[in-house]
Amino acid sequence: MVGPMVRVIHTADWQMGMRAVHAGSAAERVRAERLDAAERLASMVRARGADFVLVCGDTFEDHHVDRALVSRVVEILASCRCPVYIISGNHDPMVPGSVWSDASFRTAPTVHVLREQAPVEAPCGVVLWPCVATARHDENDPTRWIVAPQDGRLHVGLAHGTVESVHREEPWYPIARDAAERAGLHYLALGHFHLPVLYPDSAGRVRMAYSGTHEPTRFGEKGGGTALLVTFDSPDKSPEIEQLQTGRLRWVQVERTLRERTELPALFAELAALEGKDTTLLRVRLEGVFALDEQESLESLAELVRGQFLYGRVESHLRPAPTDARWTETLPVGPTRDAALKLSRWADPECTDRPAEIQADVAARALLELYVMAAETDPS
Amino acid sequence: MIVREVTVEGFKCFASAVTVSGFSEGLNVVYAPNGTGKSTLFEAIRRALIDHHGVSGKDAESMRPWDRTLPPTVWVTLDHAGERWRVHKRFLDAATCELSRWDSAESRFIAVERGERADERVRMMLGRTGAPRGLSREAHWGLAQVLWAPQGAIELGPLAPELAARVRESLAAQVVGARGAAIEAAVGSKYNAYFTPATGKLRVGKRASQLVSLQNTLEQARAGLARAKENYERARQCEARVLALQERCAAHETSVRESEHQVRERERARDTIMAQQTRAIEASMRMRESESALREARAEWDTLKRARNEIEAQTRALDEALQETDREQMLLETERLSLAEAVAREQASEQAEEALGASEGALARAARAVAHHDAIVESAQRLAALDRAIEAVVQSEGVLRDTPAPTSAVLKRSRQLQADRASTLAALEAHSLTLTLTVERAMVVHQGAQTVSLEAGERHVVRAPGRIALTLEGLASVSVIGDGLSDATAKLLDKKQQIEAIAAALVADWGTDDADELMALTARRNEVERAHAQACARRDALLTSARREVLVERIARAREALTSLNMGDPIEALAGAREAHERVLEALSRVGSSRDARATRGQRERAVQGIAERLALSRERTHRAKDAVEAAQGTVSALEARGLDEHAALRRIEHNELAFDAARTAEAHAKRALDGLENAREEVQRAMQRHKQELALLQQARDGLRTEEGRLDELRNGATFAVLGRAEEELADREQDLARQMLEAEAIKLLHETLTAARSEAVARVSGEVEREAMRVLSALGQSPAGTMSLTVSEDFSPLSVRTGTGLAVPLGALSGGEREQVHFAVRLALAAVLAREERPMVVLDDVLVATDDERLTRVVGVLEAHAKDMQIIVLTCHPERYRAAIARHIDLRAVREGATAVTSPV
Repeated sequence: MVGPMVRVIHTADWQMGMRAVHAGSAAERVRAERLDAAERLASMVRARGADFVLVCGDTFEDHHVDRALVSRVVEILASCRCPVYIISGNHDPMVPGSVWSDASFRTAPTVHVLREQAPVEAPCGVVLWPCVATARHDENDPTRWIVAPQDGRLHVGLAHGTVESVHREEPWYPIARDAAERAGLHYLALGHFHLPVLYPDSAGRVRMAYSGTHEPTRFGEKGGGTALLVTFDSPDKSPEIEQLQTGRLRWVQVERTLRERTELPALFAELAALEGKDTTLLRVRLEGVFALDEQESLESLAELVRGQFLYGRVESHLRPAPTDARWTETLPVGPTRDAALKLSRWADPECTDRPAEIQADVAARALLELYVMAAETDPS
Repeated sequence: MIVREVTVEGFKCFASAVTVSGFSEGLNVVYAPNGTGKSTLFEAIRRALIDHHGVSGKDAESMRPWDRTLPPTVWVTLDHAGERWRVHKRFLDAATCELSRWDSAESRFIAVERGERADERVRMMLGRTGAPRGLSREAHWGLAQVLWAPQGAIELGPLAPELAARVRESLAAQVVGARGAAIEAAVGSKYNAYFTPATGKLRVGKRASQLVSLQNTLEQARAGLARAKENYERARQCEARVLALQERCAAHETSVRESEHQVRERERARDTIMAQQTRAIEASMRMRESESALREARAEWDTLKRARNEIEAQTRALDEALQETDREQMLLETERLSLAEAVAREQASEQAEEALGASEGALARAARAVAHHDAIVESAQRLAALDRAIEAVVQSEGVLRDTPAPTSAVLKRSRQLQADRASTLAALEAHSLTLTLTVERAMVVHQGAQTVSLEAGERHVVRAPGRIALTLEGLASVSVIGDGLSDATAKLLDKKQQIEAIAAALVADWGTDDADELMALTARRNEVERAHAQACARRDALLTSARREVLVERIARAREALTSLNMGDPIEALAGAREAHERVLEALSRVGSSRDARATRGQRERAVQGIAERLALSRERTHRAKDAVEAAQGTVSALEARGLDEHAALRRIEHNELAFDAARTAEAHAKRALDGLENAREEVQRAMQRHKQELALLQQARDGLRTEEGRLDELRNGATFAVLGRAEEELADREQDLARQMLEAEAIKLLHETLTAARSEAVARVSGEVEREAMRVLSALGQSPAGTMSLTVSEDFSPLSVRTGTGLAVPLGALSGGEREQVHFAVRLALAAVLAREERPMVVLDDVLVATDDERLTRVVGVLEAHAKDMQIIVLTCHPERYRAAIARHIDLRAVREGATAVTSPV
């Protein structure tokens, strides 16, 4: 029977050992942050007095991650000081020779890797229904086997997959929107989607949810870095769900199209004012036009992005403003000015007489180089 | 460059030092009659400014004065880049070069460079085109090739490529300007940092840009990623293999369970069959018992049947034996009679054969007597012949003794002595006196013992050595004495006597010394010897066959044998014996031979014996048959006494046959059951075999699984995914770096190419300025109204053609000599004008316009005056009147040489 109150920490998609190609030189830091976030979560588990922890798949990015990393993860899980129940995900499916066969799991008695699709007794009389992913790809609903009896006990499912209506590029492990209701579960803890999402049932009670990844993984993930504290008072009541902030990194993506001379300084100021630069990964994509005399500002911006943030990258697709012909008049009449005018024309993506083998970006850059050299040789 | 003063000493016609000064920076006309040294002065300036001071050789020697050995020395004072300079160059003897700069503070020239460095610096002042060591040809003059026209050589040939480039560069520099050039230099510098100027390809090696190292790093990162991917993929494959092997193990485990079940099933089937086997064996035993009883019943039946048959058969045999005994008895009697007849015939034959032996003995004795008789006759004949032969030998020996003859050696010696005597006589005759005596009447002449009768009138010649003494019988004694006997004659005489004595002794036995006679004696002797030999041979032949004593003895023995036979006439005795023998043979043929008779008798005896034996056998068979009948009757009696008759025996046989058939059926059933057992056992074996195979496969799969698990474990230790991730990250980093650098490199390249193209276009535009400037000069000379003609120059700035106002292009060769030299003059001035924009150049024209008429020459002066604003022009001429009106510095070279005032300022 369920006690007066059950506290469960729901987390997923740790993706330890994750590749971070998009993080450039900060890749190692990104991986380290995922361990730190797990440690923070473990401390939260201890602090909140959780009865047990549910880890809903993709704990590891791959079976072939570093063994030291596996050991470290087991240590963190064991440090929760309460039972931890883990299911496999599409990144770390339960297959022979998988990461789950690592010896370190046998050293942590509180860490339970659920290897079979069979109900498991959890503390506080809770019955767990683990949906074990046994392959990287599967087109079947992993929860369809669950038929939880209505026996007055609390039945909680663990699954890793894509809930209908969630758009994913890889539609594996589809999970029905009413999976929890249909399986008779009081709560279905989900993993796979990196942002926290709660799904109320037809009666408005939240019976299944994504916890989101404990630490965001890439640019464009708006949210994440979370776990859920799910508190069950009784099987008849909707659980109380609290979102815990476990992540620290921010993946910021700024995309701007510049048109006015004032916009670049404004952007500079905006980025300079960002807090937590040492935990922020920033990608700036610039389009539009700029005056060549703004080159210095552009370089300052790039310097700011590259130098002050954990990781920063500026992708400039700016082109010199077509109306900005003043500086070409400062060039000596003759070949130099002719070349500048030609490059200026070619730098326009809409240019019709640009030779096919020349790209507008290259022409713009060439113009910029000419601008710099002309400035260096300007006696004034 | 502006020449201010020139001093020449020891240079061709300038043996003594001559200083020509007062050159203005504009137009200068140096005039003097032919041979005064105008061109020499120009050459001296040229060599001072261009040639290396260390030149040597025939050409250099030509610089010396014609009849002097002075070292050619030149001083040139000039202005360049706002400063005054002096070049002092001495050739050939203690050659030297010194460049001095005017020091205003000290009011004197101070040397700044010496030797080769001074040479080089002066050349740089002139036009930056360095000349090689040695006397410079026009091609090495640099810009002076354009600016200086030697005597009568106004035509401008194709410029050296580097000079043409220099001119174009100069033009371009003017087009580009200083700042443009600085930008171009900066672009070029950055371009050169990335690319090689010659090929436009990325630099490699030591001077390679960072781009290349980034590319290399990127390649390394790619290789690292490929390796990481390979390892990761290997791990994934290993993972898949582990999974597959686990599935295989599970499948094999199922198979093993199934095969084990099969084994148990088969063993049960086998045991069921084995239980039936006992029943089958019992049936088999019953069959054997029935078979034994049947065999016994049949034996009894057979015994009874055999006994009855035996009685019947033996009874028949007894009858036959009795009949046969009777037949044999009769045959025996017949054969015994035949035997008696054969014995009688045998005796008759033996008697006849005995008579035959006697007759054959008589016949043989008669034959031996005849043989003895024949031997006596034959031996007697041979003995007579032998006696005759012996007598012939004795007679021939007598004849031989009576026929002496010289031997062949005696004959040979005799012939030799006669020859010696003849030669001695010939020699004596040569030493002899010859007396020829012719008698008138018959008379006898005595000479020694010799007497000769001569007839009247007969001539007698006497020849004798030393002395001839003869007696004419009855008439006189005549003695003829010569000079006496010489020693030689005496010797010959002695020799003759000796020969004659030897010859006489040799043939004394034969009574003659005549050779023919001697030979006839010898021939006779030989004939007698041959007859004797033949007689001896015949005797010996007869003696060979038998000696005489043998023949005599043989005759004696034959006579004795014949006598012993006592047979009278042996011939008749032989005929009688033959007749008696014929009679005996006839009698024998009638009775036959005793051998045949004995054979017939033997046959009869054997026949009698055979019949007697068969008779005995018949009697024996008779006895045996009787015994057998009695024995069979005894057997039958015994069986019948036991109550066994044919009917009872037959019933017993039938009963046992039925029992045997039943037992045989049971046995067949048992055999079939055994066959099934064998199959069942084989099935069990097969099932066990299958089970064993399945176990082996399972073991194999488990081994494979363990191996792959071990491998996977190893691969997991390698953290292949982590390595892959880091490799991908590194590659992404490198790609970004490279993309940045690549963008910069491509931008620099594009900038460089764009700028170069723009520059080429600009230079092409300014090249037209040369043509336009030249046309302006030509227009000024009156060749063409302005704007109605155009000039085309080649890439190396040599004039090609003139295009008329109608657009017709006239090649330069089609122009007159005057027009052509004016075109070249115009192009030179145009080029000088273009170059003058950089620095005021020095133009030298050494009597160049020789084909130009006076009217145009007047215009030339005007053109020169106009261009003299931008350049120094030095005209060397022997026609001062042509330039008299020119606003120029006029320098009378002859006056200079004569020490008079030579320079007149411009009007």
